[in-house]
Amino acid sequence: MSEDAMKKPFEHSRRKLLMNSLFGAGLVGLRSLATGIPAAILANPLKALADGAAAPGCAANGNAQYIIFSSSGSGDPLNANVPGTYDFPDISHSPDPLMAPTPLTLGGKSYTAAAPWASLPQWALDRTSFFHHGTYTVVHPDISKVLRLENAVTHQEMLVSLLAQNLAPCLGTVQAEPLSLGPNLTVGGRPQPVLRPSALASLLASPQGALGRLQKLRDTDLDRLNALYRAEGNAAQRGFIDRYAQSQLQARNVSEALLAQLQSITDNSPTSQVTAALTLIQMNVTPVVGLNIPFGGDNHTDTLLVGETKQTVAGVGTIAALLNRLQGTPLQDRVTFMTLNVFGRTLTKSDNGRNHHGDHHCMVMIGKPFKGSVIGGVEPANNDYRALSLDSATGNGVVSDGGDVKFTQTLASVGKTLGVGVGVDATLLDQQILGGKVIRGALA
Amino acid sequence: MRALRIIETIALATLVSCTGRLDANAPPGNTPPDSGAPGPVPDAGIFGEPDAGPDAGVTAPPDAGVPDGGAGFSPLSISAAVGKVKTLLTGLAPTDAEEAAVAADPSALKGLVDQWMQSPSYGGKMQSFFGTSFQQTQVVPADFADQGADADDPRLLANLSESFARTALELNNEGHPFTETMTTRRFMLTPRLMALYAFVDAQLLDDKGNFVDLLAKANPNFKFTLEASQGPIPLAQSLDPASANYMVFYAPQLARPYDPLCPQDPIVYTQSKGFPAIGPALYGALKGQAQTFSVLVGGNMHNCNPPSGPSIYASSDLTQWQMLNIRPPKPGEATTSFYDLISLRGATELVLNIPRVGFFTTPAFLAGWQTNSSNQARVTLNQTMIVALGKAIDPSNTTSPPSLAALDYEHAAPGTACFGCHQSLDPMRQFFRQGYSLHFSPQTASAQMAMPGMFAFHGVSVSGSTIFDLGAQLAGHPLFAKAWAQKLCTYANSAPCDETDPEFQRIVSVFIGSNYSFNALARELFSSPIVTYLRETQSADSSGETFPIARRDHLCTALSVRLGITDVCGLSVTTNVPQGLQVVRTIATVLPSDQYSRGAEGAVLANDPSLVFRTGLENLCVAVAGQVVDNGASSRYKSANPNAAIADFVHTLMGVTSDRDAQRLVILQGHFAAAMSAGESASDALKSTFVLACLSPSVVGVGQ
Repeated sequence: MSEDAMKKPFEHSRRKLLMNSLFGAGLVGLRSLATGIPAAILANPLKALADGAAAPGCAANGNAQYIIFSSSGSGDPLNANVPGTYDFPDISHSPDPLMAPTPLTLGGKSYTAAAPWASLPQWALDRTSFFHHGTYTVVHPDISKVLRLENAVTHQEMLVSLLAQNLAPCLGTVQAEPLSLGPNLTVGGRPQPVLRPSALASLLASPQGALGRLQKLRDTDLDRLNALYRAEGNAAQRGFIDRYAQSQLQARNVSEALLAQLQSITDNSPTSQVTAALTLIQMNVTPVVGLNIPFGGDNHTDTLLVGETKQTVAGVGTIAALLNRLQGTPLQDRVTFMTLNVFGRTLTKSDNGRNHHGDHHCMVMIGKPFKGSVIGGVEPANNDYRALSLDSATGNGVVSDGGDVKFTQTLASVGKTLGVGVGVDATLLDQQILGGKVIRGALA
Repeated sequence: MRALRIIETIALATLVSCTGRLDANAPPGNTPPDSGAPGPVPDAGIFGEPDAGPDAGVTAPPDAGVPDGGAGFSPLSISAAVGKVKTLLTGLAPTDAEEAAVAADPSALKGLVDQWMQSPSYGGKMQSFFGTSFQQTQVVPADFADQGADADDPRLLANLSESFARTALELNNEGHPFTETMTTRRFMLTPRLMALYAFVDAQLLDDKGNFVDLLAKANPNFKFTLEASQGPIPLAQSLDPASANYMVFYAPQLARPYDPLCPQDPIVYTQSKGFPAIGPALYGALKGQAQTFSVLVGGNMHNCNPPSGPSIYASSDLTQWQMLNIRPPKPGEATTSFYDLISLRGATELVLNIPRVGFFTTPAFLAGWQTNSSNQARVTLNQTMIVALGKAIDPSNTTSPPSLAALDYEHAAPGTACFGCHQSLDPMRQFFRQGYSLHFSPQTASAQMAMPGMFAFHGVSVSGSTIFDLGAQLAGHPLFAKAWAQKLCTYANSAPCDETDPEFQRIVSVFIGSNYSFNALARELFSSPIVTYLRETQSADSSGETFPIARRDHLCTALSVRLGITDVCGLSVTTNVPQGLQVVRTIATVLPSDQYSRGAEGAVLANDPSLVFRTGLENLCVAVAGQVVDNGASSRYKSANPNAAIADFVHTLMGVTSDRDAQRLVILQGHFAAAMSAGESASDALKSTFVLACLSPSVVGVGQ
């Protein structure tokens, strides 16, 4: 991605301007009559999308962040090598020098972490919060449940979908749904497609030549066809037609100025996912892009934690590359990166692999709204370690579940803290995430 | 709500480590609202009422009074219903006569379904359904390494993924009960796939990962030779023990120098130091991949990497499918040789040590659901239950096994949250562990072999022994019929059906009463109001009517059969995709498709149109337009005759019958004229008109 391109985070397409001039407010009613598509959608498809999750105060919120999040149902051992897991001698870490315990400074305090984390530039560490919490499950398929914060999010919505719907009006994105390049996501319970970075350019590019020139005419005539089908259909069929028409409106709002960046993607590696995510954000397609950066995977059998080492080094490297690409661009302060997997891994099993662990996971949040910090930590429990309860005022861990945020509320708390950090109204989050508290100690 | 239920059906899969506590640690008070409680149940008599749909049927009635997206059943028009069913079954659009027949007598649909099930494209649709439903498709080459198998050739990977779907189709075509998909020891295989099965069988990979080359063990002096200087050697001679050229294979690549420090021509692979295991070396050589070996040079071992050459396998070895039996060797009998390709091409059975039965022991299934020393085949067993009986192992299964001898008390002591699942999971996973190593080789660990499987699942608790007993229990289980009716119903409606719906239960009864004839199930289901929405059903009342996008298989089949282009999307690796359609293949690979996932009881279906779907589809249609409009003398559509082309767009591509075509013809003709007026050529105008038709709701959606 070129630096010039990165300096233009919010492209407005020629087509969008054209569309706005042709189908401004005065013509919306006419168009609605012609197509049968509700005027509310034609007038403001984004608002219509977001209506289901009103976002009071968000429209004026200059702190709204785009989110790039990494998620996996494998339950990677990301939790095992972060600051906060080096205080107990029986916690296993890779013996590889590449993972050597290394000091790093977060919020003016010194911590120890695996060397890759310490290699992040200090400006990034100054906005990195390592938030220790539980996910309360040890089974892989529960990833969707964890993304719903173990059903703490109302209406069985996923956290990232909730945040996307509330951030979309602030950011003016084309769609209010998150877009996935890896994880299986749902919005309102509806599975979303998973896209491959290498195919994005083919998917998003507009036709060239005559068929490109005729696109607008075709759109108009397709609206007429849609209206015909809509008139013949029943309520459920009309619902499909409306969503289909909406997708066309969204498509025409996508800037194509950055498609060249997508065309340069030839594989679906984590690096390519990052490139695609950044491009989609620059194109202002969605507030949230999901991807998958492996950190060791489902490593039950991992002799000397070789796999964990290799993927942790690569994984942090991918994050570092993302941050480097953001540095010095307007997006540097507008994009938050975060991680949420189904569970962490046991910390004490052995040096030759780790088991599933619902008692401990670490969400890494990197972005302007966050400050260098370690929220909570671990304590011995159940023959291993579990996340500490929290003091909500400071973010410090409190042993024996003595904090005002109990262990069982740490997952909801990390969701609320992330939500407030990325610019969603705290009152709204209190309504839509049951339990937990915002941990101010993580916020800048 | 329906989709939520899909997600909610995600169940406990691999209970590998229960050191965490499940429900015990769940935040209290977070029981979600609307958590899947059954919807309202209509009056029982409603199913006996006359058709509440439109009388003429061909045009849809206005549905005033039913709010957009609101509650309340609104029947589908005859045209939409017939179009939905025929498209799902064949990809083809309904004819005027077919719609008229159903309009005159809705019961005629059943006969039409029977006819459509004879269509060649029906087999393709069901093969796709079976591939996903039997969880054989979401695998990549690396997944097979754990079994000592290879799938680096995309055609072989496709063989592996398709094999059981083809097996199910063949069993059905032969008239066997569908329950035989659980117990069959006959499989559809290609000669190349047979070689892979036999090669995997010629290795032993035990629980600790120790490898034994059984070919070498049985033949300590076995060797083979690659040569080029003698010239071509007929394969028959290479494989004939009586020939002087036995185990001498023609390797023309050795005519070119590759490393002056290494043997050049011939290369004799022996079992002496420096050479790889002879079995895998031979298997690789037959694929044209001569294996690396070492020679002593100046006191040091030097690696020799001979160049790759031609494979002995012909293209037809990957396309000639045949059904054949797999059985264990009789005492003293040799197993099938993986290298004897000539015999494999004519084989009627394979003699193998590794037990193969049903869908759950195919290399593809086992590649998708690999296990390890911690997992101990729990994921394999759990996915088996999901596929066969539609249910995962979860605490709702309260059936106790005859014995808890196999219970892993370290993981799941009685009284813990984990015990509920492990008490059935651990004894049942022994069906796999008793007979297979962690790499799905024959089990050699005596402790595992001595502990047979115990079946304990939703009301059935019996002692078993081998993996074959597991198949028998699955085939005979009371949940079998309902599970497969649900899978097919979900495929048809893109949403699960209500299993308490009397109409659903009637269909299940018909399936059972037909001795589990899949055709009977398909006929009954696709002609049922539960799919057609021509009448109100409890399923429609509780879950609404679903109108999804045409996911990949539906869209690509429809475009292929309606436009007369074989595999227009290039979904088959054997399809020779023209340059102009390469982008179609690229886009098609990422179109939403039917998926399964670990622990999920239902299919994962992305039903909604999205901006990426919309833009991708437009590009796909543009590429197809270039192939079908003014593309040479045999082009399907010619701009010299636009009216005929546009009529075909409406009737064949969009699937609109003549009684509803007038306004659509006007719109398409108007588009063509407007494009011409804009200064574009007739050819481009017609291509744009094609794209318009291709993007119409009845092409991009199901049931429109």
